[in-house]
Amino acid sequence: MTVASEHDRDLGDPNDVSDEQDVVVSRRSMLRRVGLGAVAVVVAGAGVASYRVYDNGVLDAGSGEPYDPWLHWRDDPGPAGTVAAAILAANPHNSQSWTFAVASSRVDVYADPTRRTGTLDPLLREQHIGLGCALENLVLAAAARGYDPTVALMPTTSDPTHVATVELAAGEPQSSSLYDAIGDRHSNRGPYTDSGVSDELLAALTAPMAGLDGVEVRWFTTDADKAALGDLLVEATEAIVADAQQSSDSFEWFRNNRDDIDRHMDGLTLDAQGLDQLTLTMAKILPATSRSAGDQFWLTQTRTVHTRTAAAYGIVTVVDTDDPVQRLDGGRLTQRIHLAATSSGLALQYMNQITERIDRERTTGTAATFAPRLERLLARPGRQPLATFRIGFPARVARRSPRRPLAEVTR
Amino acid sequence: MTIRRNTIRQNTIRQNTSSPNTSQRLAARLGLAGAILGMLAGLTQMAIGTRIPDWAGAKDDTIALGALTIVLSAIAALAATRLRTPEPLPVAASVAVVIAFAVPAVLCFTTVGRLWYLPGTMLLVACGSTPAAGDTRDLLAVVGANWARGLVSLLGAFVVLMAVSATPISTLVLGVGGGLVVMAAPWVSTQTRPVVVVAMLMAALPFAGVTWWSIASPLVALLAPTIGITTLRRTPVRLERHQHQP
Repeated sequence: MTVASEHDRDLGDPNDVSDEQDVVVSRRSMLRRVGLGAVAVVVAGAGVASYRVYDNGVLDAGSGEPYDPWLHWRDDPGPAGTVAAAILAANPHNSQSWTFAVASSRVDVYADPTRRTGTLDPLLREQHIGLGCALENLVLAAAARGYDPTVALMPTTSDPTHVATVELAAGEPQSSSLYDAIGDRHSNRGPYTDSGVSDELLAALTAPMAGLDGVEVRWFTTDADKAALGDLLVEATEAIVADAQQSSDSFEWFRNNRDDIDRHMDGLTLDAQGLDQLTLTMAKILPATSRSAGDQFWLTQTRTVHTRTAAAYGIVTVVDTDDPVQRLDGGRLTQRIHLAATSSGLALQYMNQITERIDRERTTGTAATFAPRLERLLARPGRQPLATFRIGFPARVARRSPRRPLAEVTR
Repeated sequence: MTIRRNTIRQNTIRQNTSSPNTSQRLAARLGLAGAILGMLAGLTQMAIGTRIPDWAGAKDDTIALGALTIVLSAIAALAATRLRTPEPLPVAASVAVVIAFAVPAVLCFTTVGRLWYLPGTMLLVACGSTPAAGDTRDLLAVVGANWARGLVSLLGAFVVLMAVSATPISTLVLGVGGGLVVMAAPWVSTQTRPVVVVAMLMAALPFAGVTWWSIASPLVALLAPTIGITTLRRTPVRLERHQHQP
């Protein structure tokens, strides 16, 4: 079959063209054109994908300025170096709600009221836990740098944002496995393997509790216990997703693309979601997800990955969760557990959906639906649940989360 | 079976002008003005980009992106000066000018944000005016004959684009080098066809291998040699013409 067209005539020798001339192009030529057109469409698709790879940092995930603090936290031998370690601590939604005042022999730790997570943490429970985590890193880094740190919690009665003062007296350098794990500790939101965590190993994680009287950990290791807590976690996640304000406040801390990460250097990222490589790349190449799509993804992950593959859960308990000092101590303990877990090759992820709903219900005056159920599961009269996490051996390596540089968090 | 279509058209009366036509003058002026504004945008980005984040696209590295904008704008400026000739440009030169306008016009929207809105628009208009200045049919003929080669070069450019953001540096070098080879391969002598195909494979595959999870780089590595083979014909793509058989 041959096909003629006006355009074909345009491509030929003008001498061959007459007013009434038919120009015939072979079927082969036509098919070739159609093929090239189709290929052009595929190439255009490859172009879009390539641009997304470039623009969303698919090939340089976990590097660049937002991730530099993970590389340089050991560099400074002085007090500023202790802050470099502190900012790598776990904290709620990676909001990094902290500032530090650094002097030659003292570091003051402050809460940053501009970086709260809204209705997810209306009573500032998580903020204080995160500050406790940072404080623990700071103390470990101080000891490793040859200081003898002395911690005073909530030292200024008139200033509730002043959460700690750490005096740095001269001492002997004391490194530790916990200190060495600071740069490798990341929240692992991926699947965990089938391997169980022995009671001995769990006990070893909570062994370093010196100076943290009043804080305990309740482990959930039996299948029945894990299933009951897992169900409650899924229900709490559903409740957060159904609560438009909590959902919005959560979404506000999600950084969907590399530009946002570079700009804010905080928040939760796709890299930190524990996805496999191909799924992660697809998520970065495709358009950014909406809040509702993100919520559904989170709910599905909670149901099918987080609760399904947890080898054990831990709940940190205190006597009074409204007491900032106990919250800070609870944060210090959770950080120690996380560092010890990292040293032992274990993965850990905080799962605070239940306590977020408990605090939400308290502040909105609605009937308490989660608090009594969690207390029953806890079965520790006189103690209150402060923070929940799951633990296990990781199926995937956890990735870094962005951090603001020291200059932005020091006064 | 033959499908025939009778066409009635006058032979084209080709312009035989000794001075550039209106479109070419317009393209030259718009291109030059857009390029100069583009360079100013790049300078602004470098100087005060961190203080005008919204206008500068809230970019993290304002210095490098500003410098890149200046370089690309300078290329557009050179292309604009090439248009300022007393005679219409040859087809090949027109294609080069179009590319020199189009690449900065599109790319710099991502480097300096809103600062590029005006120069980018001017360059795009200049880009559109350039083909109109010459014989459009000749231009289309050249583009049509080299369409596949252009696609392969475009794929090479995609590899370079991906590679410039890659870490570690060895991956970056591998990707940029391979991408440049892929870009150049379709345009070398057709007498060395096997060598060219092998070179294209050698250039695209290693980068695709070390960045397999990116999806895009394996796709490009697959497409480039596949399309590239079709371009490496000993004779140029030619349309067959037949006299109408009653």
